[in-house]
Amino acid sequence: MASISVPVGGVPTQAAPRPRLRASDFLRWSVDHKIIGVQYMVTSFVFFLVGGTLAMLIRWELLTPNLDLVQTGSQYNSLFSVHGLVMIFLWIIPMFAGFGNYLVPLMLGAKDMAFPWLNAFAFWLIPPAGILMLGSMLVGAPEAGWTQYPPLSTLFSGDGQTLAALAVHLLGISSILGAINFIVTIKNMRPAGMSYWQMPLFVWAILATSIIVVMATPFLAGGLTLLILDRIAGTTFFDANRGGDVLLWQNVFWFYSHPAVYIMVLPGMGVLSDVLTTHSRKPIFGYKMVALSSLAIALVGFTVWAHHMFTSLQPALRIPFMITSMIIAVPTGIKIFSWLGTIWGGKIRFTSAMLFSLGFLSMFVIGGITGVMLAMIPFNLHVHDTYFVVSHLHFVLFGGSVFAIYSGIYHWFPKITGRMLNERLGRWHFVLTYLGFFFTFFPMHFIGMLGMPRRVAVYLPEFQGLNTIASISSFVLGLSTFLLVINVIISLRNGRIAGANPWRSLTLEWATTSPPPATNFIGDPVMFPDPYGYGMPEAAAYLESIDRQFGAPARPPVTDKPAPGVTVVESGD
Amino acid sequence: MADTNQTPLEDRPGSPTTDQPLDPPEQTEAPPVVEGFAAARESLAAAIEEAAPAAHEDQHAGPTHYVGNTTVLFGRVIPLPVYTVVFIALGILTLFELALAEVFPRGGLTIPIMLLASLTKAALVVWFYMHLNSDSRVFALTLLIPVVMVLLATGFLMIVPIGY
Amino acid sequence: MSNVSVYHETEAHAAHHPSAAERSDNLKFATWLYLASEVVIFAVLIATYVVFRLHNPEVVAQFHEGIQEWPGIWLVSINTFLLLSSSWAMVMGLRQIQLGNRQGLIRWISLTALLGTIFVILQYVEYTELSHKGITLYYNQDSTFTDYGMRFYAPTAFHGFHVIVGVLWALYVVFNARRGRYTATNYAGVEVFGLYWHFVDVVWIVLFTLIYLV
Ligand code: HEM
Ligand SMILES: [Cu+2]
Repeated sequence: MASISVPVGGVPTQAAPRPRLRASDFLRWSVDHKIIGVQYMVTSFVFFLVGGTLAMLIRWELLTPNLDLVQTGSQYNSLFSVHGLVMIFLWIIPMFAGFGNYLVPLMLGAKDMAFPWLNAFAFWLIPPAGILMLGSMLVGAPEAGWTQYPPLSTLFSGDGQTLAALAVHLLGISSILGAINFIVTIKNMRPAGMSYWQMPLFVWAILATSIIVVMATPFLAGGLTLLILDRIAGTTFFDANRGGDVLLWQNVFWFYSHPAVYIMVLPGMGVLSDVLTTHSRKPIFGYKMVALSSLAIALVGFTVWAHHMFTSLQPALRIPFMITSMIIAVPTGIKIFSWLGTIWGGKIRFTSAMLFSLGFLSMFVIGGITGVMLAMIPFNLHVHDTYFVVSHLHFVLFGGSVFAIYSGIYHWFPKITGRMLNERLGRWHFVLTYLGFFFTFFPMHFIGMLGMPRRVAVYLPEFQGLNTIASISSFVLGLSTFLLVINVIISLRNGRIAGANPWRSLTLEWATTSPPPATNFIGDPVMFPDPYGYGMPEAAAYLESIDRQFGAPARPPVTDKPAPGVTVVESGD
Repeated sequence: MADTNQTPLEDRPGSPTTDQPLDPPEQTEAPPVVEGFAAARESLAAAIEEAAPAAHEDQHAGPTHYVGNTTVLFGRVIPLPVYTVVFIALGILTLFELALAEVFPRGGLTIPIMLLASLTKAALVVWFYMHLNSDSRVFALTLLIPVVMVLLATGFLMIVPIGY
Repeated sequence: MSNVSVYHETEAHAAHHPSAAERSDNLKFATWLYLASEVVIFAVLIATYVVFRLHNPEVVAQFHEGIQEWPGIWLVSINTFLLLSSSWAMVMGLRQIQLGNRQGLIRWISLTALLGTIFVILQYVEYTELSHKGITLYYNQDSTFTDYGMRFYAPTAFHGFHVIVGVLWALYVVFNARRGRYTATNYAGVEVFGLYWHFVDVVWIVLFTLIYLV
């Protein structure tokens, strides 16, 4: 399509990005939230590549029904265990922490987080945890999956399991400290005149996420403490033969981990709200409901954990969890309708950021639907622990969280680096990722319903056809990641200068230079009272004043010709 | 999350701050209007400045820590600081619990009464020593929500039969 | 050149120069959030005990009988009073600094640290006694208390660890007080330590009743 529009103007009038940070600045201890944010993002992206490599090995093994890449089932176990642990604890959670770190203070017009030192400390727990996690593969790798169920994780795993548990423990502490910092920052450091109801929805999402982290992650910490004691101190909390109870772990783990799936997706939903409204030039549809649904998800999320235990739970206790699981789909549905309402009739610009957000929208709906299917006990009993579950969780975690992360990268890269990412490469990246993703994971629904269990290296020959499709697509998906890497490398040097506000967005992070100076703002930024007031004449004036302040890229003068029903403010197309 | 205040402790007694951060910045002379949009921006800024002082109303009373030397208890004035009175109450409750557990024979109500006594002690400490009585309500919520949640969770673990 | 800007260039806002009062509010809120997460960790450990108590009342009864003899329950009761007193000493110290009396603060907080230290020592004595009676952290095949020990030690030792941290923190507060870091209007550091210390006290109040009495 010829008219895919790249935002405003190509002729920069602003000089090259101002504060010149050197690479070495990011390797040092720093208490600047912007540096810490980038540190989080780059570190977790490295782990994404590691986890992705493991995923490629898994799919390679599954090309054929027999063992070919690995020699034993144990080796396969360690592949998917470390893959899951890395992806969840070292990629998605820290990546969103990175976004939060970079953006929350900027969106609140603040200079930094409430506790800069604590912030840096929380980040620096991650590299040692990552080393422990990867080191665990060398000393009797963990084999119990990311859920670490005993007795697999206590009686049947090597020392690596202990290291992995320690690593997760450290990461938990890191994310609790980070969350405390976010909550205090959001409560106490909003600029004068910004009420909770004027915060960008990304900030709302981080707030809800942080509340979950503070209340849920300690469950995992407590459980892991017991697990580690079982492994090294001779206790038998989880040893059914010696007075222990394996279900205790399942309960404690899912007390944490169901809320944690929202830790992994709520910030992504925040990204989506911000990106969709900016790139379709329309106010958020139902702002308050979206903000409140984040809180609702945070609270209701604590009542559904046992839907992961339908097959191990006492039958009489199942029904309530089926009901709560259905209920939690409601606030999620509210968000989806809000996004649809937001882009409906908007002036959509198919930028890479927007494309990935739309990708999230389409894929996450599938994941949500399979989630509700799984929540139905009769169905669940059939597909529990099959590839259907694998498919569900990847549709929400990859189709959801990862797409949101990509979208966020394309959206905020200009702010972080001062340069635009290459849109053409971005679109290629999107198309390959989208197709690769879909054809990797969609067939898994069928594989699962046909009865192939998850976590096995050897399967019945009749599943081979679909598995081969999935594997080949997954290699496409894996390779597509490098388009982003290449794009970032190229654009860091040669990307178009972004200017302060390339997307003509109304939230505060754009009311400063790109990248922002060390103090974020020079003086105190004045916020626009409605962060999503696209279409208001005042919004045009506000955007104009930002351009005047920072030297906008040259572009045609403002011509406000409101289309019927939609008022369009930006003029960059 | 009802509070929208930014600087809640500003007018706390003896606060060292003298600058009034929420006061509108001096805008004695209106800047000359250069463009059409400037008017819109000015009205915006004005609206923000108007909104800001409203934040004051929401402030909690500021800590009324007990620096006095007397306590009023059941209408009587006791010549001891509140903290000491609470301490004595804690001691008495502990002795009471010990007596229940070790001296008197156990009955069906022993355990609930002991639990109640212990809960009261905990509440006394949280209320008076940790100043929840005078500090922000948000702090109280911060404690209350997880406490309720873990009570429910523990209750669940107690219901589920072991070894299922 | 236009004078329209997205900035107030007039006056610095509070957000950019956090005042002592704001800092104190931030610190206190952060401490409460941290305590909220501690509530949950302790709850996991305590829950393992409570569930065990529910399903094995006879083992717990045996434990209660076993600790009848000296030092037994009395040692623990002394410990309880020590912690309660230390909490009281803590708030009295806070009161002193609010009244502007630095020496008073130093004296009371030192007392807090002292009481906490004695608590830890007595708990060590208690643990030694108990392990002689066969109550161990590991699964003990040769004792009647096979799997009781771990449920007992996990919450109490985790609590003991918090007391140790608290004593160190108290000493740090004393150190700061001696260098004149706190005044009648600036005592957030003391208050925040107080929150932590009282929380540790509250946990003990619950543990004492649940484990030794009920
Ligand atoms: C519409 C809301 C959702 C419902 C009703 C739902 C329901 C379920 C159910 C019942 C299972 C258990 C399947 C089984 O093991 O038998 C499950 C698994 C899973 N779900 Fe969801 N889900 C929802 C949304 C999400 C979201 C948003 C995420 C993450 C961002 C997520 C991540 C996962 C993961 C990771 C698993 C697999 C856990 C494992 O390793 O066993 N779900 N879901
Ligand atoms: Cu779940």
